[in-house]
Amino acid sequence: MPFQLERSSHNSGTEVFKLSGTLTMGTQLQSLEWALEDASKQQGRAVLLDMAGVSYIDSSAVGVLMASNGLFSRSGGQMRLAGVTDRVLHILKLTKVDTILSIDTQSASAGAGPAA
Amino acid sequence: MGSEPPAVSIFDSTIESVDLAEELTLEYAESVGLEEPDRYSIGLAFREVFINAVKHGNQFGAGKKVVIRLSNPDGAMVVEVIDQGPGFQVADVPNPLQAENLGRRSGRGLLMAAHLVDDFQVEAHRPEGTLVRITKRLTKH
Repeated sequence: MPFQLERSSHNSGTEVFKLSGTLTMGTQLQSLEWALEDASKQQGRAVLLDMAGVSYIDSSAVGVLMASNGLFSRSGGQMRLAGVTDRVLHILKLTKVDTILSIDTQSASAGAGPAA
Repeated sequence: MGSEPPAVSIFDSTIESVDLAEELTLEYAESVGLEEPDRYSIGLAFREVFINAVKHGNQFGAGKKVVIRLSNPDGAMVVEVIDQGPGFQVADVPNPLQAENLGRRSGRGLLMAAHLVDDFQVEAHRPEGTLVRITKRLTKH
């Protein structure tokens, strides 16, 4: 299934990126990276990646998540992942980036509020 | 089954080739009876190995090719990916799990591939390049 991205704003001020399909190397992954880079330029911006519709990710996607997470951290913002599926979580744990990224296996609707 | 010669395909060494090559690999996996979730595992491992061949093996060299060989020895599916690059040593690849490398943007592909399959081998290929061989055993789920 091709990758798709939908953006929306939550009442809390968090911007939700709803991702679906496969997240692998290619132009669509690059478009996600550019969108995240753009969002991170706003000081203190909070972004939630709704990953419930992502069937799997490759190492390039892991790289984009890590690079983007660094951008948000440096700008005082926050990037969180929600609705992470078993396959995606397996890859995040395998590469140990789960120790750095903010990950929630709950759905995005449950996690779009302010971070605890 | 098992005594047939490998199915050989040659692809342009480009990132754009990976989807077609993966599709071919997954069709082969289905034809030899590899079930889910093992098809997912070998498909993703293959993507990582193929992209590694394009980026780090052939180093995006114009006109370079990537050869894939698919075979079905008894009870397993084997995929060999061969590039035309100068070769590399796995030991020279920085460990992506070390704390100082966790934030890096790249360097995780071979680690992921090795964990997704039952056997993972890297060897020099004559007269040039590197051969990466991944094996997934056929298991009933």
